[in-house]
Amino acid sequence: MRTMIAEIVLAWTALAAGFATAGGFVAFISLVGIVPRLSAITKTASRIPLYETSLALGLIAMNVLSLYPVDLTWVPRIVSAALMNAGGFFTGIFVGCLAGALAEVINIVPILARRTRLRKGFPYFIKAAAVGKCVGSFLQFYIFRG
Amino acid sequence: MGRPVIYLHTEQSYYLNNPKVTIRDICSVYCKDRNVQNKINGIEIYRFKEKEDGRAFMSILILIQAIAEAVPEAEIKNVGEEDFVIYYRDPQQQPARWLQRGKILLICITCFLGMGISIMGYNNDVDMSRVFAQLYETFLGREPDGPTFVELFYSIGLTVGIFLFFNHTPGKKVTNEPTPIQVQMRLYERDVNQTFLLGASRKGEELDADNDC
Repeated sequence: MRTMIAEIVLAWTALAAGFATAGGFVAFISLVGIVPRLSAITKTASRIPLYETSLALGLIAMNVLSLYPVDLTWVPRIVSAALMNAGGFFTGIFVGCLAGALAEVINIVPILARRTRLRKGFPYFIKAAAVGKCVGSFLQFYIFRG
Repeated sequence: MGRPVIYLHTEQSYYLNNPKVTIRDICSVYCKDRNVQNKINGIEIYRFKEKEDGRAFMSILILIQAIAEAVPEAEIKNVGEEDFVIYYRDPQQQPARWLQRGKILLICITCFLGMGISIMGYNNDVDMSRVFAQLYETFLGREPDGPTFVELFYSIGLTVGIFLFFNHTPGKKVTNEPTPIQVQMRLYERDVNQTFLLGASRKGEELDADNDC
């Protein structure tokens, strides 16, 4: 009986933890505004509910994948390699958007521009930042790993 | 009969598919005298280039000027925005359907994987599995071997929570409110319009009563 009560309390705690995490993720993703930007670029603002569903499904599926030891070694080597590479590409896009959006939330570029009294050259700054990110992540993954 | 009073109301932005812009398209007009109202509604204010998408920035003064020329004795009151943007999209140049579908698919994949990696990173970062193992030991007095029902309930909570916060389960809305990202989309649109308008008036691209059109 006591174990059962403990189990119920524990389950309830876990449920609440999941709720809190979900809330945090929704707040975060809405705040940084990646999806509005992407749908504005592609002119598909009417499909936002679909994008939200994708976000939610991704969160749910990968959460299970990270918490449970799922065995996917039965997937053929070629398929899994293709999936991993394509997946890495899309994840990279997402994280790149995220980094840009976060920099924007705290207004780094406008503040910097006012301080240095520069009016021109912003496209170059942005490109420089993008190249810097690419080089940095390359260095970290391929050079520093040893 | 005294001077007719004309009330104007404009929004911040308009999306039009017709290159010929009349006052009817970009402004709601009210006047007690129906004839005057119809006359004003038909005034042509701007014409986009037929074959390309474009945008125009306008000040309400340009409407007031046009109306004052058509109905000189009227008194005009503006109850809406003072500056606004008009976007014109050539209806013949809509992107192909498959292209649009493809874009939607790519964004869906990006959202799915990006959010998935984020939660995996988060779970690793805060060491969720260990937290749950500790909780399990605290309550049940023995160490769990591998994931238990605690992770299951965490996942259920996550699922319910995210659909609740996004305000829809797949294919169905929970309430009539817009979802958080739709709200964000509107805010973004407003910011873009405002930035366009500010930039246009600084560069003098805004169509105003002074620089005549």
